[in-house]
Amino acid sequence: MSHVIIVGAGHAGVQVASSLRAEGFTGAITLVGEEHEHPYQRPPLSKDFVAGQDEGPLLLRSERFFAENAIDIRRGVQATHIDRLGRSVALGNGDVLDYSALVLATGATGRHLPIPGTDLRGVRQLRSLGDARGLRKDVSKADSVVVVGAGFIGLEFAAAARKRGLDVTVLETAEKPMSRALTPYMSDHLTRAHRDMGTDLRLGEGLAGVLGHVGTVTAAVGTSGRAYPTDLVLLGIGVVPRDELARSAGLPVDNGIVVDQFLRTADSAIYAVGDCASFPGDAPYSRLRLESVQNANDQARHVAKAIAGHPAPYAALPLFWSNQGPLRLQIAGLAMPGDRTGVSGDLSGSRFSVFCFRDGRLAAVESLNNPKDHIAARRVLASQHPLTAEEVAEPGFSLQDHAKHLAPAN
Amino acid sequence: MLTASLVLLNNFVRILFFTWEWLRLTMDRRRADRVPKKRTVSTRGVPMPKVTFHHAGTRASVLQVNAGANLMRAAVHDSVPGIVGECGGQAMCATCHVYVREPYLEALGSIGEDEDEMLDCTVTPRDQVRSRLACQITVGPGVTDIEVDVPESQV
Ligand SMILES: Cc1cc2nc3c(=O)[nH]c(=O)nc-3n(C[C@H](O)[C@H](O)[C@H](O)COP(=O)(O)OP(=O)(O)OC[C@H]3O[C@@H](n4cnc5c(N)ncnc54)[C@H](O)[C@@H]3O)c2cc1C
Ligand code: FES
Repeated sequence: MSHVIIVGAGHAGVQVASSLRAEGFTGAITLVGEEHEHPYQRPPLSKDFVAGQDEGPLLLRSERFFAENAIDIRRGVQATHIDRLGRSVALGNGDVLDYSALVLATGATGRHLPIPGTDLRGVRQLRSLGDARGLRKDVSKADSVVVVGAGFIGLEFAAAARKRGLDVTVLETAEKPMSRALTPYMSDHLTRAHRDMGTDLRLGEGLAGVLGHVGTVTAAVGTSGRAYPTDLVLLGIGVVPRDELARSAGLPVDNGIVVDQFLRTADSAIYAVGDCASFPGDAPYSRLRLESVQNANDQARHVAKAIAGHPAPYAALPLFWSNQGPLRLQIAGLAMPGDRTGVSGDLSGSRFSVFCFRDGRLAAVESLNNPKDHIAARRVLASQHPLTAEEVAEPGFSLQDHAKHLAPAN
Repeated sequence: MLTASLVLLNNFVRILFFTWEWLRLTMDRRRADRVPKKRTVSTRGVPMPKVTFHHAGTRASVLQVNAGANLMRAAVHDSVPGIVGECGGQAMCATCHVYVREPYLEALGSIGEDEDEMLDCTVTPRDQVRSRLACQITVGPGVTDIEVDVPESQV
C-alpha cells in the first residue's frame, strides 16, 4: 500500500499533502510536524502580527481540512531518523512509520551568532509562531529595539516596530542592505525609505556583543565599539537550511538538501522541497535554494504531481514579496549582482520598477508599490519571448501593454 | 538488573510525557473551544454575522463568523474552496478575489488604493462594481451578513 510521509508541516509540507489529494492520490498520507501549533502562515509574523494585538495566527488550512482529506497530521512530533534501506522513518515518540515515498519539507532555522550575550532575556529571533508571540509580548513593553541584519524579515519588523512608536536601530554589516537579492537602486531606495520612517539604519556596522543586567538585555554593542542602549534585540541575520535529518541518512547536502531537477534526492524515494532544498538552477546558477512562499508552494505542487505519477523537470519563475510598512516590494525572477538595470516609473516618489537584464535579456523585475508592473512582469518573464534591453528602451514602451499581447501565463 | 531499571525509567518518562501531552492537548482544545466558531449567537445575544461564499452551480459555503472577522481569513480557516490568500492578507497577491453580491455592496467601505490596483491583476477578470479582495473586507458594524461569489480560479 502506498504511504507518503511528509516531514515538516510548514508551507511546503502542507501544500504537498493537499496537492496529493488534489491530484487524486488515494494512498495514506502522514504529515509529521515538530511544532505544536496547527500549521500556520509565516509571512504575517513579521508584519501585522508582531505589532498587533491579540489576533491569532493565520492558518494554512482549517483544522477540519486534514481530517476531511484523510491526512494524518502528527503535531508536536519530530522525525528523528530515516532508515533508507528499510524505507521507514522513526519519530521522537517512538513510532516507526514505513513509507513508499518520503518528502522532506523541514524548512530553515535562524542562523546562530556565536557572540556573547545572545542568551540574555530580550534577545530574540523570528522564525516560528512561538518566536513571534514572545516578540510581540516584548514589543508591547519595549521603548526601543535593535534589529541585527537588514534582511527582509529584519526590515519588515523594523517598519512594524516604528509604526508602534518604538525607537528602532538596525545594524547591518554590509554597505548596502540585501545586496545579493536586490539591485543597488532598490537597496538604496529602501535604505532611504527606512530612514524616512525614523529608523536609525547603520550600514557597515555589525553586532559585536549584547550587554545585560540581571539576565536582561540593556544594550547592543556594534563592531565599531559603539553601544546602543535598548530593551530588545532581534537577530535577523538569515537562516540555515534544516538538513540534519537528510545528512544523518547519508543524503548529499550542500547549503540545503541536494535534489535533482525532479526535486528528488540521491535516493529516488525521497524528495525535498521548500526552504530546505537545494535544486539545480538555470545558468548562471548551478544550484539554488530559495526562501519564499511561492517556491515552497510550487515545489510542493510539483512533487505531489510526481508522486501521483506525473514527474517532470521543475521550472518555475521565482516570485517574492515583502511588505515593509508603506513599502510594498514585489520581485519576479532573480536579480543578480552585475545585472544591467533600468528604472521606470516615478523616480522621485516611491512607485517604480527596476528592470534587470542579463545577456541582453530581461531576467528580473523589482516593483515597488507597483503591483500592475509586477503582474505584467510575471507574464513577460514566464513567456517564451523574453524582452530585450533594446525593446524596453524604445520610447513609449510599457511593460503592461506588452504583457497584454501575450497569452496568459500558467 | 540495570537494563530492567532502565526500561522502568524509560517507561516512567514515557508515562510522564504522555500525561503532559494529554494535558497540553486538553488545554489546547479548551482554548480552541473558547473561540465561538459555529455558534450562531454570540455571548452577548447579538446574532453573529453570516457570510455566504457562492460557488459555481448551486453550491455555497455558509459561515457564521465573529464581528470584526476578516473575510479571507474566515474563508481560509474554514477551507472555503477557491479562496487562496497566498500573501496572508497584504493586498499583494489578489488570490482572495470575490464578487460581492449587489445588495451587500453599499454597506462595504470604499476600495483602498492598494486594493484597487490589485483588483486589476486578478486572474478572473475584474467586475468594476462587484470585485473586491476578501482580505480587505471585515464584517462587523454596518456589515453584518454578506454574500459573495467565488471566481473560477485565483492562480
Ligand atoms: C517571519 C517570516 C516572514 C516571511 N515573509 C515572507 C514574505 O513576505 N514572502 C515570502 O515569499 N516569504 C516569506 N517568508 C519565507 C517563507 O515563510 C518560507 O519560505 C516558507 O515558510 C518555507 O516553507 P517550508 O515549508 O519550506 O518551511 P517552513 O515553513 O519553515 O516549515 C518547515 C517545518 O518543518 C518543521 N521541521 C523541521 N524539521 C523537522 C523534523 N525533523 N520533524 C518534524 N518537523 C520538522 C519545522 O519546525 C517547520 O514547522 C517569511 C518567513 C518568515 C520566518
Ligand atoms: S490575501 Fe493576498 S491579496 Fe488578499
